[in-house]
Amino acid sequence: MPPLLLRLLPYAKAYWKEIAIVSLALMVFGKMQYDHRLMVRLYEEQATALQEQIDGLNAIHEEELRLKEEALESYRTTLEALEKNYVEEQERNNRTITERRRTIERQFSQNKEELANEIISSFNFEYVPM
Amino acid sequence: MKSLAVLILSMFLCNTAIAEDAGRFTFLGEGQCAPFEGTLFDVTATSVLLTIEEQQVLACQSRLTLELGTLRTELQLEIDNQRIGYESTIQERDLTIAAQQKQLSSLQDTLSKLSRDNDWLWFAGGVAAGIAVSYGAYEVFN
Repeated sequence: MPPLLLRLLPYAKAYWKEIAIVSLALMVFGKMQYDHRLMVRLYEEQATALQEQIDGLNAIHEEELRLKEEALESYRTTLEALEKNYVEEQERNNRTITERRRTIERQFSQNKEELANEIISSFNFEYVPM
Repeated sequence: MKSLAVLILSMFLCNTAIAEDAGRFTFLGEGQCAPFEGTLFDVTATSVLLTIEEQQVLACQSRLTLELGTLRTELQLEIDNQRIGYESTIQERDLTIAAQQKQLSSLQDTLSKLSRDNDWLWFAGGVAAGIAVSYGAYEVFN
C-alpha cells in the first residue's frame, strides 16, 4: 500500500463513522447541486422557448395587422372609385335627360305628331287635336 | 288617372307657352282656346313630365350599382379579414404547437436526468447502502 494511505489508515479507522457521514453528505450535496443546475438550465430553456413563442406571436400579429390595414385601404380605394363612378354616372344621366328634353322640345316645334305618339305610348292618353 | 290624362293632354291646347328651365303650367276652362277644361303645360314642363320615368330609371340603376358595389366591397373586406384572421390563427397554432413540443422535449430530457421520483426505491436503496457500508466498515476495521 502507498505510504500515505498507511499513514491515513489509523485516522480512518478511528473516525470512520465521521468520514462516512461526511462522504454521504458530500454525495447528497453533489446530487442536489446537479439537480439544481439541471433545474436552472431547464428554466433558461423554458424562458428562451417562451420568449421565442412570444416573439413569433408578435410577428404574426403584426403581419395580421398589416394585411388587415392593406385590406382596409383596398376597401377605401374601392369605395372612393365607386362613389366617383356614381357621380360621373349621375352627370352622364343628367346630360342624357337634358338631351332627351331638348329632343322633346324640338319635337314640339317640328314634329308634334311624333310627340303625341310618344305621349300616347307613355301614358296611354287620348290625343284630341285642335 | 283621368286627372293626369287631362293634365297631360291639355298641354297641346295652346302653343303660346314660352319655354323656360323650370317649366310652367296654367289651368284652362272650356272654351278658353281648349275643347275641354284642363291644365296647360309648357314645352319644358312637358319634357320634364315625359322624362321623369327615364330619369328615375337611370337614377335607380346608378344607385343600385353604387349600393351593390358598396355591399360587395364590404363583404369582400369581411372575407379578407376573416381569411387573414384564419391564416394568422393557423400560424399561431403551428407556432404554439412547435414551441410546446420543444418545451415538452426539454422537460422530458431534464426529467430523464433527474432522480427518479420513487420514494420507496430510494428508501430501500438507502437502507441497503447503509447496511452494506456499515458491514464493510465493520469488516475492514475489525
